Amino acid sequence: MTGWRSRLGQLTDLATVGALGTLGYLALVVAPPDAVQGDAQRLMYLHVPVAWLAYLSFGVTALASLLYLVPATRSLRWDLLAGASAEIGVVFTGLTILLGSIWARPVWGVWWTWDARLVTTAVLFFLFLGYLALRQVPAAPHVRARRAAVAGLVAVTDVPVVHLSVIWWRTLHQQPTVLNPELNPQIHGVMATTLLWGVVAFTLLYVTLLRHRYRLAGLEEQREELLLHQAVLERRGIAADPLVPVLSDAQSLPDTQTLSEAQR
Amino acid sequence: MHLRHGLARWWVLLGICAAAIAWLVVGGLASNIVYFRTASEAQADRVHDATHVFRLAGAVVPNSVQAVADGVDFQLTDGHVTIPVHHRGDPPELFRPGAPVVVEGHWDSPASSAFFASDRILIKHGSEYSPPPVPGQNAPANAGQANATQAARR
Amino acid sequence: MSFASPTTTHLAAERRGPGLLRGAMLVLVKDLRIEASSRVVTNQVIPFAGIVLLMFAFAVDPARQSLQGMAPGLFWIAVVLAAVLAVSRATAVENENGARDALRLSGLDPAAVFLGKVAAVAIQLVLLEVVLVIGVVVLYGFPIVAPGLLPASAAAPTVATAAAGVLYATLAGAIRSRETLLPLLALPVLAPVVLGAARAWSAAGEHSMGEAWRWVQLLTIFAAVLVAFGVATYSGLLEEA
Repeated sequence: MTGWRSRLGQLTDLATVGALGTLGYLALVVAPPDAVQGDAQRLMYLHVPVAWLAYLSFGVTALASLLYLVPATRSLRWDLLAGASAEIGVVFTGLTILLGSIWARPVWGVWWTWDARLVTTAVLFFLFLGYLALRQVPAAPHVRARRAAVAGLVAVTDVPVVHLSVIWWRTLHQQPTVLNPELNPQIHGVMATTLLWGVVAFTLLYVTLLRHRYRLAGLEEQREELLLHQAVLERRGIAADPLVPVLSDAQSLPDTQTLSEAQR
Repeated sequence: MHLRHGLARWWVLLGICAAAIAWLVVGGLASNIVYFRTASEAQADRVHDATHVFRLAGAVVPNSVQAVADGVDFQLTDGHVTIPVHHRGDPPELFRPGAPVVVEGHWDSPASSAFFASDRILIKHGSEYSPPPVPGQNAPANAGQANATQAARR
Repeated sequence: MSFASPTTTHLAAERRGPGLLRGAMLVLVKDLRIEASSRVVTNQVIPFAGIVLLMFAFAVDPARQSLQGMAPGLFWIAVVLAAVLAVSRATAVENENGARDALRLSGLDPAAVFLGKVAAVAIQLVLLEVVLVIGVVVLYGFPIVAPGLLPASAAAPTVATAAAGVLYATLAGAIRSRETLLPLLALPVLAPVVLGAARAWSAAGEHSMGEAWRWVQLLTIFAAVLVAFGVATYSGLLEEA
């Protein structure tokens, strides 16, 4: 069973690399420069997909947090997933701001301005930085999960505000080109295809990153458990436990089932 | 018992959120946050604003741009009202006749003939993207105009 | 609840202790009593907010014109910073000597505990705001042009600040790094409160009552959503630890 899973995983990794490479070619070579902005507009092919990835990550965090809070579906897996996704979201929100800033300098003439879209995005960044800080605090798994879920649900309410800010309020930032209320994309054919490809490529990137981060989070949890187990054994005076040979090497860890059997 | 209680509260929370969104949309509360004002609005609020700093948006009137000693003079329009602007410093790269811009500054004096003294020009770009036109058609300026009128309509 | 037979309802009511409002009242009185004997807000938080007002004046151009214009924003920043301190302190008291467990086992509805705590913090904030208003009027020359609108527009941001503060302080509850974590968690949520409240007061100062009223409505919506969120989630947060 693990065989086809890891093969599917490898396939996604490869597909992500391929999609990103193609995006680079499309954005830099195939797509024409914009009539008004010139080459600076090419940054859009990164900025928009990166922002989309951030939305997606926080959306998954919210969904996983909700699934954790609902008693019927409560599981620490959701908590790990929410945390992994939020980490990716924070990185890509920061990247969105950075790329936007680099684009704004030649096009608007400033690095930053106090416009509703920019400000709400910055707030989103800090909301989830706080969320991650809260997760860092040591606590019993379910206690931490519940705290994080509540904080995550509060933080995610800013996502729709960020997206709709340019429609609700008069801003310097342009309105959505594709996801506008009229559902009428105002973008030339090749450019639209490139942008769409960017969104697909970054969605793949998200799946890849999330898969690896989630797996890593699981291993981290396992390591914590083992360290605790070892500490308990040492307390009892059983120094060398044959079940816990080299803790730093994740590959040689016994799985949790063996461990719990050993505890019995 | 406890669970049902909690569930009822989640529904109340959902209800309040829905009501809040409805109120926001129906009540038009969003109009509070405004990054810039159009030339018409600025003209109407002139007495009230006096020489307070605000942002003004419109399109640069073609053939009105004149380089002066400490910057550039031009006319800004939203299609109804045209305002003379004096900008101190170099305008940004994409500044050209017909371009949609946002200028930051204030009325030079409370007088009704006063010009708008700007110390920052931002280019307001619309959400349309297209490749450059075939040489011969003077489309960039037109595209700029379209953006400007779109910006002014908001 | 309507499906339950009279007997079960009766038993449940007995087990649950006092009703929502009465429970909230009990917690409110308890928290105010603690404040009355410890005097943390009156002796530490309010003086802190006062020195913050002074520091702002040192930091910006002390020309009267600019301070007057910035007064509403500086006022609300001072309030929010002081509120974070006050709430942090109030939770610290709750975490000592197992008081939190006692509260949890008291049979009070967690929502009542939340509402009571929010009310207690809000009342302390009102006290703080009264002192600070005198401060901005005297130090910054802030003109009070609409004496009726000022308290009306202060109510919603005060409740919102208290609700967010209590919610996050409980989240960060027994955590050792609470003092540093709480501001990071609460301030981004309170950013709209500072923005809205400051704009409402500025608009009132410029006699734009329509605009000020719109801001008050926005703030009221925000406060309502925060309180509802706290009521819905507080039972989970109180049960942990």
